[in-house]
Amino acid sequence: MIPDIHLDVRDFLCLSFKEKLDFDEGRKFLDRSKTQNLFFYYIAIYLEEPRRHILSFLTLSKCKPVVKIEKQKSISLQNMHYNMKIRLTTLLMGFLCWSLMAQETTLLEKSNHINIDFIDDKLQIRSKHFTSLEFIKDINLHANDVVYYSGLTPLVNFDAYVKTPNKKGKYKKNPVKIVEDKDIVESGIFYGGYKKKEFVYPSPTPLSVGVLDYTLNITEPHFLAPFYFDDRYPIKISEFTVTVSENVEIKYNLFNVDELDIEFKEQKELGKVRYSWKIKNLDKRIFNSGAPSSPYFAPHIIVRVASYTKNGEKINVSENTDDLFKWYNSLIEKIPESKLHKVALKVSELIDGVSSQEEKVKKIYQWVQSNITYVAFEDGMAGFIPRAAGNVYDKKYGDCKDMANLLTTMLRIADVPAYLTWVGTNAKPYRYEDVPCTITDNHMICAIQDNNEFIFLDPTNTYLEYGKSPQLLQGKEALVRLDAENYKIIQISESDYSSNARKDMLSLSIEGNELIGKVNTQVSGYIKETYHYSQLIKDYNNSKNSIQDFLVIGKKSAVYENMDVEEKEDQVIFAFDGVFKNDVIATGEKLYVNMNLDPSPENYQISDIDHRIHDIQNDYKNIYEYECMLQIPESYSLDFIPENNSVENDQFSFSSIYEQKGNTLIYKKIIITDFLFLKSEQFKSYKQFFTTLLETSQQKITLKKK
Amino acid sequence: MKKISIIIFVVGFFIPQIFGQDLKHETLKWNHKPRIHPMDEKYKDESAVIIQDYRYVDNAIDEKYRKAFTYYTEHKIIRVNNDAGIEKFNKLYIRLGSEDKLVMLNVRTISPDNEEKSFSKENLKQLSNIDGYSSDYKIFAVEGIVKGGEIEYIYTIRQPMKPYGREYFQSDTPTLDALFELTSPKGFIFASRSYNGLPDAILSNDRKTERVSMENIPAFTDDGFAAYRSQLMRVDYKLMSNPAQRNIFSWSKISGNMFDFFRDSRGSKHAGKFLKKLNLKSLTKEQKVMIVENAIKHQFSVKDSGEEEYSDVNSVFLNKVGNDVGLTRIFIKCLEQLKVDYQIILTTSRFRGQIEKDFAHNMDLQEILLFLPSFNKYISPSNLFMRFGPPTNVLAGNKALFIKTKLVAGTESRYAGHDIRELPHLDPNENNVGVNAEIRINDSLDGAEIKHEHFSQGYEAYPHRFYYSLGDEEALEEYKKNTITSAIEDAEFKSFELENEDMQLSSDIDSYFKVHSTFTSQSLVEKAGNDILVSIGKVIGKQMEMYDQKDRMSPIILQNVKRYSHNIKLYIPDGYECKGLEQISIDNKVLRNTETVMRFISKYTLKDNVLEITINEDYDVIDLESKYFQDYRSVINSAADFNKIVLVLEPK
Repeated sequence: MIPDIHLDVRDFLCLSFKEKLDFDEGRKFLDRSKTQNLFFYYIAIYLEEPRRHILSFLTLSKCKPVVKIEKQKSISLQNMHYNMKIRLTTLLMGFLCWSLMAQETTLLEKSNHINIDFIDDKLQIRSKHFTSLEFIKDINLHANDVVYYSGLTPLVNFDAYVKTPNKKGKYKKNPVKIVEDKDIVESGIFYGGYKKKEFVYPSPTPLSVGVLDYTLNITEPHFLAPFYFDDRYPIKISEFTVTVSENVEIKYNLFNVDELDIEFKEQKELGKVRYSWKIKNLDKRIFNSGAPSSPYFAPHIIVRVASYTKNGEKINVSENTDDLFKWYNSLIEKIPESKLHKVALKVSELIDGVSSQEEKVKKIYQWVQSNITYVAFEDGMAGFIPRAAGNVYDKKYGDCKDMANLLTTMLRIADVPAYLTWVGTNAKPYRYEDVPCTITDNHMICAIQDNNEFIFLDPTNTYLEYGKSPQLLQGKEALVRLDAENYKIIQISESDYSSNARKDMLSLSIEGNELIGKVNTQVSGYIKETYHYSQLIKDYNNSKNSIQDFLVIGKKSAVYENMDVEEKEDQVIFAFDGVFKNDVIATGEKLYVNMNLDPSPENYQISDIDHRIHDIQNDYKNIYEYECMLQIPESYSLDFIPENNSVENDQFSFSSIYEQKGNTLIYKKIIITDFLFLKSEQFKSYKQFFTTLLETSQQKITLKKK
Repeated sequence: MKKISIIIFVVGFFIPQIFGQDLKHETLKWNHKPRIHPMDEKYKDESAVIIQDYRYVDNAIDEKYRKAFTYYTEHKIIRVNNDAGIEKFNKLYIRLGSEDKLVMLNVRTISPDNEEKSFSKENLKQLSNIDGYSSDYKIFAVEGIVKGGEIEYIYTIRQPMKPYGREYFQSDTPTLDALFELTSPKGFIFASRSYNGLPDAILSNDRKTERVSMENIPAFTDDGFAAYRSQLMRVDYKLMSNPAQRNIFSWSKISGNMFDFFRDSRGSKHAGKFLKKLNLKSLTKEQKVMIVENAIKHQFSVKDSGEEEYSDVNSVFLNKVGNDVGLTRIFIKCLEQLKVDYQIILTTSRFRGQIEKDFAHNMDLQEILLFLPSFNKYISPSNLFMRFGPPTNVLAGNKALFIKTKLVAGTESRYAGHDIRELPHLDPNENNVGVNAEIRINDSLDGAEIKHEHFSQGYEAYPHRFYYSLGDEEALEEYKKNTITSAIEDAEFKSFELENEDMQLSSDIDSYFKVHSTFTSQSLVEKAGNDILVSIGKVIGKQMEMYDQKDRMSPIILQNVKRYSHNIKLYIPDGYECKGLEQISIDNKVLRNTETVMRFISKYTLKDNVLEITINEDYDVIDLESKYFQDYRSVINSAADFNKIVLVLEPK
């Protein structure tokens, strides 16, 4: 497996690269096409969706359950500052390639054959990939292809050609001659050492077939990649085979194949065993925005080398979690020594005069969070072995492993038992018990123990509070390295909705056609974290109005004045004077007032709920409370109040209440989302929930002249 | 356009004599006891401050190689004040062309308490051939940087003598001290030009060094809808003469070179074969061109790559894949075969800048078009959604280099001079777009059915056609929601039909692309007691809002001119009357001198219980001075305000 340390909540920072190049060079930067952008282990998972959390904290944050593309004024994209061609290419590659174009082009065959031999007392693993793609129409939009590899899984054989049928019923073979070798710059990773071969099938015509045949050398048995049976095109035959020497034992797991007809075969011949899994007539993979990553729904198989027998002795590779831990531990033991003098000095400076363990941990954790910059710098096995703590301390930057190792080391210096911990983010659906492989995790953090309870610290999250589970790790299994021999698997807790709260309190009166008054907003938990990231982005982009863009109370025409922001340890409080336009309609005798100044409808909408296929992955559970008090003008009386509304469901609920107290009308609204995954069975009730929410959110009260 | 820069460099010269010369970078100092710089209070809220930004372009004859080289040196010191500052400056990328060599690199950071941390060279990595960039990059992350600290680096690249260059000294970070120094050996003369307030270069007494310096360059941020980069302070320079040649860069020389570059003498056979398959006999020349364009844009893949074969005319014909240069070349081959006059046009996007008549170089020649004078129409060779007709919208209106050609005997063409002039853009009246909608409130008065027609023309229609003609169902769903019902969250489509979606119709400016649909919505109608509220403004789709942008420094640049015209009919249920109509009358405009150049105007008539609203929103110019920004904003926001209009229907 190629390390996919996509842990960082900071993918957006890769922009610096893009901008930098663009700026320095004065040239267009062609947005990476999705194919290239979505580089996860080889070609196997290349259909992965882009990371969602970038979007989620750039545009939605707050209490938003789903990611949604922000809409512009019609589609003319007035903001497009570059020329149409770039737009074309980006959209074309990124959008069309992956959804539009897959119309009729079909993969006749997609296969992966793994050959595991035992040569010179060593395992030798080759992974041969084969695809044949039949072109039908809009051919020029389908003819691009790409093969991924890296130093850990070098490409040992590559062949690509087009077979074109001629009149005699035979095929003419036209080889791919132009192949570009490229380094990959992946979102969020400064240097990864990944490479690709990019090519275009030459002169395909309708019914001609593009054939790709390549082999990777898997230099380490732990790096066996999963095979995805499906693809972006419909497939006639999809097959995965493994051939092993009889002295090698493999294990496998199949995922998301319940509804598929798999033909499994096991054959023995000449001292070898051949296993094969074949599926016929697979539909193309469908992508929905806001869906969990492909491993959650795409049919795939993960094979691992459990053990082999050498001189009559069984040697385990990855039969169970013990084996995986043993291998992981061997990597930890490769961390070079480093001088810790300066680190120790810093620790004693930080904990000077601090007695409680919790306070010590907080001080050290916060120091690493705010002084070590996340820079993913991976190269070969360096993608797996943390750098020495002293080295990271000096450089003041590191990737997750480096930061986790520094934090662990510092805590230990402060006599706090701390443990290096492997974990998979929510992009990984696997459990160590089922899949004791490197595929199961993609991140490293630090764990400490407080009264037998494990607390997980993720120093890559600059703004995460002490004690709170990292957002992307909620509910995931953590493999905690207690010492060289012992480990524990602990499930990281899910943050409940009440700890990610936002409460808006408005106190308004009517002046002319405007609502004016005081607003107070409190945010906590992940919403607070999101706010801090929005500020970072604001500084990064020199942008203005970031707080209004974050709060979105009132329409964009609203004016916020006298903004006061109070940052506390567990919450951020905003207080300001607001002037809200476009929410009062005056028709002579009557005033119609919309008291819903909150952004809820936008935030909770799932625009494709009628036809989407995949579940929805929510960033976190949360609660939103809205309270708006309206002073009724003296010359008016209340003529109409909308009915109170509510929707109750285990996973999401909503209620709205109007209450009149003397001259004041109080309107309260509470929305709770209590799920990390919304299953498709729930879509119907969710739609009902949203419809009620939408309806309620535009209801107006009526005031009549006395 | 990677290759273009290479061809122009064929300005050969020989080295007349060899003479020793001090190399600038060898004389530069690297302070051995760096201290953190004192900083003015006013910069404390900046994410970062560039304390020093010195760049040296040192042209020299190297005795050893008997060649002319450029030693390019950058020496920067940057204070970072917060996380954003660190994120902006802690990763560095040094671009290296294929013959370039990094001959010097020093990097260090200084902490607020003056602790120095130098950089370990083993962390210097290289990237080769990344998407969009064919060059190599040396990349590294600076070590030891903390908030309040400084990053200092200096590097020198040796490269074959660069005949021209552009250095930006302004960015979104303030710069305290900037210096540009260009030195040239005997016999070589460079010219430079400073832009946007950067002082002009001063030539040293020995006429060897051009020097530009400036203190306190303010940060300049991108306002959006602007040619941001072209407004930054910068200096452009170019080689004027070498010992063998004078006036190396003139538009006529560039044009001649470019013609030779794009017009390949090979490939005629392939072109002939390709055209033969298209059965073009008995068609007019114009029809032939359109069919050829369509065929190329359907059969050939566009690859953004500098790989040589993607621009080789034979290889492009054979493999049916090419980059913009390759596709231009095959278009030219086909036009020659068809005996159609053509001109090659080179320019750049209006959002990037423009060429200058009196300062020729090819740094702003980034986009290619072909012009066919016999039809007064253009071809965008590598843009799949444009068709034979006007120039692409972001190029239209910009100055362009027209390279003229002349058809000669057989199927050959020759260079026939050049011209610099503005590319025309479509008239506002050829870019109509809008919505015709009829709203009928249902019998239970809690929802509405909307009969909707969305139409577009010209620049507005090209992308629509492209997506709709290729889309599969899912994409179509998404697209539908984004264009037709972008402001109506709960729309349910009852019918949906396209008209004139064929890509070929994009060549016919009078052909409107239309989407006819019928949908229902509950949210459009709301009951408030006995009254009915109708969110009529949502029917025109979500509008851009510009409330938050209070001021701006940059002139406004628009994608293209256009005219929105919407017509909305609301059938008022019997027994009800409409209130709040006065909101509908909006009239805002931008008057430039005495001419109305942009306008939003909405009016209504009420007749027989039918409310009819007409909206005209016109953008008749592609650029506007920043002093009109408030007016522009009010026009843009008028549409957004209209979007929010809710009408009241009261029982009579």
